[in-house]
Amino acid sequence: MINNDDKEKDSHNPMGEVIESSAFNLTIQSHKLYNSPAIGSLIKCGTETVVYSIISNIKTQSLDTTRTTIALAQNAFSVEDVYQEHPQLHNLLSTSLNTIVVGYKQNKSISHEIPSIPPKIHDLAYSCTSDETLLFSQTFGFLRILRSSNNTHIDDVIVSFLRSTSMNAPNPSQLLLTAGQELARLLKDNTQRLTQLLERISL
Amino acid sequence: MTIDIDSNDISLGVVTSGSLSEGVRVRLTNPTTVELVKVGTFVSINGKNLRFFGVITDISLGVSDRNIEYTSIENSNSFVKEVMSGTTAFGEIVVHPMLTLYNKEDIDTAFEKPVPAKTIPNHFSGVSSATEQDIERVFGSESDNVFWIGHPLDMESKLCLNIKELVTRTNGVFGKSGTGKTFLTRLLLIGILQSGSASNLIFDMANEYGWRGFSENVNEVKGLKQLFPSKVAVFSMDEKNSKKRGLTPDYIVKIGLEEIEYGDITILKELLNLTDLALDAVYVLEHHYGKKNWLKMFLALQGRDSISSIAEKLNFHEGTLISLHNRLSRIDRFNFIDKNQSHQSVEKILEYLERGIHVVLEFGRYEHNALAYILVTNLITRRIHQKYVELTETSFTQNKKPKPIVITIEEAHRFLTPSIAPKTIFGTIAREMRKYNVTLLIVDQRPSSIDGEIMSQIGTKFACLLDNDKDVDAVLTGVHGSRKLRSVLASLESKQQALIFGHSIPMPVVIKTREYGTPESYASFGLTNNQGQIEIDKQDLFGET
Repeated sequence: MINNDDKEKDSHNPMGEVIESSAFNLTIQSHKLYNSPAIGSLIKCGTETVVYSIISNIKTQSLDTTRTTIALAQNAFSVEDVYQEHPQLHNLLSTSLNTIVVGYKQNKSISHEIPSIPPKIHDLAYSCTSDETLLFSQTFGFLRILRSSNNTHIDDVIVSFLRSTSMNAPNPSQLLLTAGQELARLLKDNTQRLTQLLERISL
Repeated sequence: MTIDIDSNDISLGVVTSGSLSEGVRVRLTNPTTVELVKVGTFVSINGKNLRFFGVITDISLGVSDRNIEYTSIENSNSFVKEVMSGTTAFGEIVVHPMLTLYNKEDIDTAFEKPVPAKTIPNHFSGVSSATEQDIERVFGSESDNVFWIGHPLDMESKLCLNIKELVTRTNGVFGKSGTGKTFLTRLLLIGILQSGSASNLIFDMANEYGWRGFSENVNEVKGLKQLFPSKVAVFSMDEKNSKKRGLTPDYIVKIGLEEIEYGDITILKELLNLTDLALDAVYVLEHHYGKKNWLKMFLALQGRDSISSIAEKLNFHEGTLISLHNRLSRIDRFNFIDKNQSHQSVEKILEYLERGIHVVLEFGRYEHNALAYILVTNLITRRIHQKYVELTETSFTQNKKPKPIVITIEEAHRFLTPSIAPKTIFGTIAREMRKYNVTLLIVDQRPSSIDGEIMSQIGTKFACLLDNDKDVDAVLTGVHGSRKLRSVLASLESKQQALIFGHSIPMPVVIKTREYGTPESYASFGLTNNQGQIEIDKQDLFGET
């Protein structure tokens, strides 16, 4: 995982590439092991049509799915020692991200809709800067797409996204209020889910 | 007048559902406004084609999910409440579209009179507080025949009343004692006076209209004579009392015993506790002695013997005539009664009225004497009635209608109870006298005691706070939408507020009565508040007092 400063620095460098593509979900493999933005971060990929997606899951596993990893840290002092002693791990393991497509940019205008054509495999993926994220979050129409995702932990993704975005906003409480009102409209018939969500984003 | 046809102000909310009979539901745009909205205030609704004028009849809190009611949001932090109020929990108002102001498609309608709404606005039409312009379109703006009577609730706009329309019907001012009936009546009288559309004859039982009155906090307020010295004449039944109050009356009213007729006695039936038989006796006596002399001769009878001989002659029971004699002699004791000759009081009043001078008849010390008030009021009104019927009938040939008059009576239920209303002149006037240019302004605190037939003839009703159910029923009987008006009437404040509905106003409206009694308020009648000038006028008219 990378911190905010690294994020700004890396914004012009691709963090990974698309290895599975559909209209609604993408899988992005990180170029470096464990080098992934946090859950709820905004990712962009594509050139002519920039597709925005939000990270809903981060997975690190063996590249060869037929070979499982085994425990190696029994005699090590720390996890770093294990990686130093076994440098091949960096080539045998990989970090991949599941993202939910939430919008696209075409001719400089951002739409909170599913793009008509999904990104290509091997399209480079970039983390969005906080400014880009704020620009994308000027309105919260994309929350509709997130809410209707069939991911069971989607509420956690929404909370992570809103918390991290609001931290960089010039007026965090206004941003949360607008987002909250959009959620309230989306979840007007599910008070319990709504109040839980609101309580979590207000923290 | 400029009209912004395209305006779609949603400052208050948007229409979400509703019906013509139940009113349209409007979801408030701003959740914090729910406490600022008040029942009875005016709003404008911008439909797709029509602009409506309506009134708020209900306010409620709505939720999008019934579970909100069972979720303990009170324990949640303020952010949750802030987000949810206005989105899943919101304020709603019910608006009754009363009038259609104009059709946006047809610009000409913008300059016509608003018409009663026969449809409702589309879904999601914008709702905003009524503008001053809208209120002017509905109620008119101050002019010669349109009098500023007060303000709509919580608004600064002037609410006006078409006096010319008003005086064509009998009107009523109702309200519990101390709710501002007299102040409202005074304003109406000034309105009639300033418009010149009718002459006022005021039977001023409590001496409040002529020279001066008092507000509840014992501040003196000016009467009509002080404000309009050249247009108002004060007639008095009691010169001494008038002078004591600093007023020299224009005329002292005396009534000759000769002038009292059978019809003047029937109205006193209940007050004098006369039986039907006694009234029959009056009728027979009048026939026996002649119209002019019957009362004088009858009261002149002294001793039991003389009465019994008359009783025998007329075939009446002696006891009936003795008790009638006792009771009628109460009339004789009034100072304004002249045993010896008849007076031209009625003619004098008519003469003033015909000249366009408004007459206030003060009762002086008889202010609490119902017998004097009813006797005189009935007697004078009967004569005026006769005269006006004659005048109107001759006017058909001469093509000159007599000037309309408005007769103001207080404690009206005493003249208009179901048992006597059909027999008295007031019942007749209320029912049909508008044809003869005579109408009544009924001021009363017990409308339930007034004959229902007469109540139903009242053109415009001005209702101050009433809390007795019977009185509320009486005022609202036969009024469209009375169920809603009932709640409005019950929620009036006890001072300076009135509900107006009926003939001369396009829709029922609650007003805050115009200020009366301060120098500014006098100035607002277009008068120079120059006490010196008033003193000069006074001396010119009455000489040194």
